Amino acid sequence: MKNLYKKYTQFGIILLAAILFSCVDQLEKSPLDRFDNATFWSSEENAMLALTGVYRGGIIQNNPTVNPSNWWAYDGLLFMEFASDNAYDRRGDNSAFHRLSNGTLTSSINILESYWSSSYKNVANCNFFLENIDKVPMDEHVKQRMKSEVRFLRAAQYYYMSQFWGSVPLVLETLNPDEANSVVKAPKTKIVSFLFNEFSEIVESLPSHAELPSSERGRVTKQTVLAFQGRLQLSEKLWKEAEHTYGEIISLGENSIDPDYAGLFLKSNENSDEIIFSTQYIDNLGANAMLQHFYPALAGGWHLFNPLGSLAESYNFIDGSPFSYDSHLYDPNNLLNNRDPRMEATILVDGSQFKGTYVTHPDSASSPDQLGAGKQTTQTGYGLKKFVDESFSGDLRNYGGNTPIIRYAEILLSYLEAKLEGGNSISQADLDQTINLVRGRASVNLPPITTTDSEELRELLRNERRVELACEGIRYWDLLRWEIAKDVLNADFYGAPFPGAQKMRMKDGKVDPHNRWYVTTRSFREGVDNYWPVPQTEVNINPALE
Amino acid sequence: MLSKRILYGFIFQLIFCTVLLANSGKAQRKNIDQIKVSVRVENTPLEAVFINIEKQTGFAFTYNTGSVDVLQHVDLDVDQKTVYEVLQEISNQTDVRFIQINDNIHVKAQQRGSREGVSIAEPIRADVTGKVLDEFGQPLPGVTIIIEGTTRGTVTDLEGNYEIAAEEGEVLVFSFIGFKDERVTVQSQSTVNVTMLEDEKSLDEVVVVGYGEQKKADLIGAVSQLSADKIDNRQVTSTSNILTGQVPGVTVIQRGGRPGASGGQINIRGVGSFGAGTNPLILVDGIPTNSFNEIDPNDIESISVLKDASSAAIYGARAANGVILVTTKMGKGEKANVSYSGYVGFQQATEYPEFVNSWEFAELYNEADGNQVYTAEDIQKYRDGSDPDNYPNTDFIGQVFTKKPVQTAHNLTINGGSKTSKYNLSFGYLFQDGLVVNNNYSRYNVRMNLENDLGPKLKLTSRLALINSLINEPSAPATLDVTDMVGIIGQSIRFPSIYVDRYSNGDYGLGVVGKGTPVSYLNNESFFKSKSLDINANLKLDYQLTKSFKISMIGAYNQSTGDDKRLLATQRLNSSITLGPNILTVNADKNYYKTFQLVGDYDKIFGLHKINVLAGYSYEDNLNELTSASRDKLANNDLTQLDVGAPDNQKNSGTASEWALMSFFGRIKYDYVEKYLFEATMRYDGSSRFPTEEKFALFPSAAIGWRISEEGFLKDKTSWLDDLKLKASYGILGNQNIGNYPYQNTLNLDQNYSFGGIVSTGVVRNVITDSTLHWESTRTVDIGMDVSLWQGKVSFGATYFNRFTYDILNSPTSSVSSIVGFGLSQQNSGELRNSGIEMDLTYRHTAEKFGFWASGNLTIINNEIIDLGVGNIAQPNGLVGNGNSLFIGYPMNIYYGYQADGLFVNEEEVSNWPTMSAINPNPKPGDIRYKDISGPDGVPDGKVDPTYDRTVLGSQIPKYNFGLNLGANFKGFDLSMLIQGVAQVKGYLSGDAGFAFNNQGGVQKWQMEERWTAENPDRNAGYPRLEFVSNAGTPNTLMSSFWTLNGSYLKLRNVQLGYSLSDAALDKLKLSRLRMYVSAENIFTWSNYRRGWDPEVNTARAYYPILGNYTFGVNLQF
Repeated sequence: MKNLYKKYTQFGIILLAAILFSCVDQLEKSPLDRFDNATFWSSEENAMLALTGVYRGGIIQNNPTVNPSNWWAYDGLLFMEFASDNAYDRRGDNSAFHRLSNGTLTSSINILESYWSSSYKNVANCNFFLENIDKVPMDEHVKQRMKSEVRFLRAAQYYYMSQFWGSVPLVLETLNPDEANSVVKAPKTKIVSFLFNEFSEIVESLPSHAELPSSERGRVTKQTVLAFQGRLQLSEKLWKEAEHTYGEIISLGENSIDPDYAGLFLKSNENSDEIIFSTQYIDNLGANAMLQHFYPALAGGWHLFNPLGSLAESYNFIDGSPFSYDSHLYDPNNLLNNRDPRMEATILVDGSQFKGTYVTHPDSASSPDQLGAGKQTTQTGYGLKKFVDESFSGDLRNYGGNTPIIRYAEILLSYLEAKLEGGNSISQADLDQTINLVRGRASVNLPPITTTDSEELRELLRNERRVELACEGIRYWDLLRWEIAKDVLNADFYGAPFPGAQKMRMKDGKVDPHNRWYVTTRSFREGVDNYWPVPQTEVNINPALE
Repeated sequence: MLSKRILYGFIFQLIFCTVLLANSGKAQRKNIDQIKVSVRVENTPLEAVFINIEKQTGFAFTYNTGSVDVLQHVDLDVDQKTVYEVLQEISNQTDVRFIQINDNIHVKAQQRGSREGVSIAEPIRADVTGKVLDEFGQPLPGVTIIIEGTTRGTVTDLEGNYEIAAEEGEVLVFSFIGFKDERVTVQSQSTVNVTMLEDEKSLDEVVVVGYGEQKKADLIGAVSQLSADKIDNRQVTSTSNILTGQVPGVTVIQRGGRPGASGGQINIRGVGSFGAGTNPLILVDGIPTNSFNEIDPNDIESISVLKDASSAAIYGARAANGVILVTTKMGKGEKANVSYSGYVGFQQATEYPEFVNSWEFAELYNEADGNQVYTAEDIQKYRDGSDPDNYPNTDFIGQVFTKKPVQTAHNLTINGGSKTSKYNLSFGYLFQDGLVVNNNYSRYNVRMNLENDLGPKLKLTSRLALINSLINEPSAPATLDVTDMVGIIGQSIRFPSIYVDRYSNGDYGLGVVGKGTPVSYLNNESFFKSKSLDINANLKLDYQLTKSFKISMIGAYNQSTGDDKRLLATQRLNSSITLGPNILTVNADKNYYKTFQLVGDYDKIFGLHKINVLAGYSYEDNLNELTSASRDKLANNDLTQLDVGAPDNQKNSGTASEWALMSFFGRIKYDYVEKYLFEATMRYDGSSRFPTEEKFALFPSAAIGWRISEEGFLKDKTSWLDDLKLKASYGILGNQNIGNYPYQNTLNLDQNYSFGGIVSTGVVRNVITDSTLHWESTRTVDIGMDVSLWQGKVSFGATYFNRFTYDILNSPTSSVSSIVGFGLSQQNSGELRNSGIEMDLTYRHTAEKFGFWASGNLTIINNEIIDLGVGNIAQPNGLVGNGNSLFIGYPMNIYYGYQADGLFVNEEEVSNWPTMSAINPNPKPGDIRYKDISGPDGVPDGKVDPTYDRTVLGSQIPKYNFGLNLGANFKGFDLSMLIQGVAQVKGYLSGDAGFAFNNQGGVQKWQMEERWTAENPDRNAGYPRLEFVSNAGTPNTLMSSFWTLNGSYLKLRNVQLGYSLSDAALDKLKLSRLRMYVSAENIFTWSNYRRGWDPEVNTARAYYPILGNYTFGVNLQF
């Protein structure tokens, strides 16, 4: 009996000791599905993983987002049109984008925070990359290119923030929470000079458009950097410099105007040489939900993007003459008849064919796209055609079409604008090498512009820019930098005309002379709405940012 | 519980018994002082000495190894001395005493505080014999029997038999701890058999505490226990909802009734952290569980809630938010018992929101729009229903919640045992149908508990439990932005009645989002199935090394697997829209938990001192693995396996994570004659979730108690006072309820981007981590008293508690500017206090014919943020906090916003009001008037702005929690009732649940009836002017006191009426028990919440109504 006790005891002690010592190590657990930052920065392959992550930023894939996730995601870029005279957000007058310019902008509007936080998230990713990349033993040229790409991606965030907020904190290194809570705003001038400095330092180490192999399409090129530099110069009214920058892109001669206008916004022609830089999407695996947002109701979409009558009326007639309801070329039965062909590529009208017949007439109670019955349909009578790929048959949230950010057409128009505003006299040759190339492409084929009168040309150029780049997310910025938002965005806005309709939405009971559907009124507050307020959530945390 | 009570009671009786054992007389017997023996032994166990004496004398020693340590050693060198003298010598050397009863010598443990040696019982002639049994027919040993008015008495033996001399007319009083006294008048009969009934409320009730049990009288920690009768007669589908209102200090909030997921959030003594999780640690038979809600209530013997530091400290590492100990039933006695209980009934939602009709909607739409979007003609068509295809009036709520669902549960239990073993086998089945088509929940529970004596000192307790459950839910068809059932329900809250559900040609209406309506969502082949299987194996080996020292080894393994499958089917809505492609997703979730524990327990009485020392070691680890796969474009909706899907868009993903905990713990309990009580506990815990240098932390606690009622000046002087105890405890507890890898600086996947049409893998740093991360700690002070009066008729307890949590594991994301650019992992930042009082008062009148009882409890909790650390931001309005949800000096879970002062009634008022341009640039009559509270100089500045005019509007944490249990029994009937409520709490309904015309949404009836209109510009209208609300909100939907709701309520939680058949009737049916009852859960609510919404619901729209049920059931015992 005693021996047995002893045996038990001995066994027990040995067992206990074995267990105790074996378990202390068990408390050291490392993540099973993540890289340890301490050992990650060891190879070019890993650096590429990190670079890919920076490109992705906060772009949301395969899921329709309510708020913008990135300046370059379709929801961040194209939705910006809702603040302009080009389009109306189906979600109504209280939609956040509408409120940017209708006189009710406050710091509590949720999209401000979305843009703000997505910008700084991208900035932080870039800073983190730049602080770690030098640890990687790799080819110096490749490393230099990666650094330049990341510096550009960071600069792009500050470019957008400087345009819409003006003055924001300029953060160029990883911050800890205390530092982040006590940063102060840098004046816009400081941000602008930072950007010019960055652009000029990085441009040389990047490949040009032609040098970029097709397997790398989507990565930053020389032309991309120059294009953003040009935009900043335009906005800063540095006309000479802008002319030079845009001239540089033109003289590189690697981009061209594509004969096919409509295809540029669809998967079919998304790799055209006219596209300088675009957000990359791919069906299913890295897709956007744009078609879910933009498809009309008859095709199961949410019809978020509603072009305004103002845009529809800016498309000239096919002979180049300005649109008028009184013109003999106006066809009330088919608004697309005799019009600039880009209108058909951009706007769906009542009766258009889109996976069936798109009917928006307010009296058509049986149509899923009936206007003005309180349904989730167009609020203007128009639908979006640009970007909206009719041939797609998959899940509307898994569409892989890219979102163009810079097109060569913009380069040509901006070049002309820089030259014109810089006080240069414009020659027919200047026109033929810029604006007339754009409107003269095979699928558009409008008569060339011949006037060289600067006032007249300014109007023509601005309208050309509007219709060429319609719904691409650039109009609101143009209105701000041209300083005409106070005029353009202080007006009543109408949709499509429906002569003879039983049900008409009228402003204050007044019948519109053209029988157009009344949509909304904007009252842009000059001096208030030119720059956005810092989001309230940020001011709550750091009152110094107000 | 019963078996433990008997055991404890028996020991208690043996120790404290002042009545001598009696036996039947045998003539010509010699006493121990007349017989001489010789014994010479050195360092020999008592047992051997006894055998020696037995051989020499013919006396037999009897003892119970549970109470007498016969292995203790003695030295004897006696030659021809009386047995009496020898035993006296042994008694001097040990802690035993002896009583000769006839030819037996009973060996007993020394009574505390006294030193008795050897005594000889007077032989008594027996007149009356009998057997004492408990209500289950098991013999009760150690029952004291006294003849009333005399000092004559006896005790039952191990088989429950007794003999006593008594004359006709004398009254026998049978008493036993934990049971009600029985009184029998001796008639002419010579056999008196007695069945004793358990006494529910007794000071000697045994309470389950960490790693053991304790008499309630000796308890100095704050522990509340719920016994089986309060658990197994409730018809709830989630165990947590049983606790609602029953336990002081415990708040259970149930936010919805989704079958299979209707458990409530349990918080013990407030919400203990604003960073880490605040769930209490729940253990089943000593092993942590994740399936508390899924345990069959019939299997539960008791639920113990450890609330203060001293009682919970033995689980230090994870005990900061309290500990819940669930003990499952074990077999009783030797007879096999078979019992069945079951019920069947139907369920009903407590509330449904009500929406306006389509013609009302159209009128209101015109009002909101300001234009006549719907003509009078349209509205007439809606009203008369003449063109239902184009002018319908659809009741989406009614078409989604179509069922009055059945709920039924059955349980069969077999238990019993032998001399060396006990068993309890239980099989349970629950079926709960849902309110929505294709929604139900079924659960199978199997539990086997075994207790085997492997030898005189070795006991093995094995517990094996299986819980298998299946949840069926409808799913939406493919490519919608909602996929699951609550999402579909949410759409029924959103969709106004003007949307057609189905056209006369069979096509589906397209609804708000152009992809159908909740009606089409529910009428297709989409589904969701979630299967889960929990296997819990729990082995415990007790080795009784000596009488005082026991070693236990515990090993347990829990494996839970969850497999779910979701098909989002294709669906034809009309000739031009067919939703698709369909997609099938399967997920497999596996969790493996194992633990090894070693516990030593030393229990000893030294004269007046009683000491219990416990020391232990525990190691736990856990591995979780997730795998998921999907394919789309399945050939049809019938074959729902992955292989059927198209190969081109197949996706899969998988991940895993681990954690481990290692702990050393110890506890010393000391008491001096049960008058002065002391306890100290410590636990040294190491967690894998903290960096190497910070893994371990020490959590100590101490408690003292003083039973004033045991003091000489009170004891036996006041007949009405049973017990008066003051107690206090202090200690520190830990919390590590955060993610598994909070401190590692890592780069995460899932950041892919495509270049040139090919997806590339990307990584990104998601969070900033803190390498100095360490335990969150809670320092708890607890001061309380327990009072018991009139033999347990009235009992009262009151406790003040103060839980101070520091080094809060908070991810201060909402306190840090998004300029930081990364998420933030936890840091130790912030301090929080939960202080308050909890009280309970019970009155109990027990009698066979008519008894009643009432038991109430009240808890007052003050939750207050003391410090936020990183988030301490001084706001211009004087508050310090994160500017959003957390402010120093205020509770957590607050609503922060503007104070509303009614609505504007006219333009003039708008223009005279302080400017609201910062938040409502274009105010109109019918808009909310926000108050100008303050300004830069601390006084109203004539502007309403976010900087100075927002304030704390209330908290979601109820300050007052109360519950009231009422019960009565009359003859065979029993009636019970539970009322529960909370007060001083705010709720909020946002989105489609709160606002009219939200995202093309509908209008609720109350909104229509209470709205502000130009015709009736009521300052105090319940809803502002109608307007369209986008997801960016409007100036009127800003968080303000206009929208916060009074969440106080009083609920009639349960009413039950039962009838038990009399013994005579049962004998005929050959049953030992039959009870039938009708019962109802969640019957009625009194509150000032929104019409149509249960006050526990806070939602934007996606929710599942809380259910009540009405059932009929039986409890049967064969």
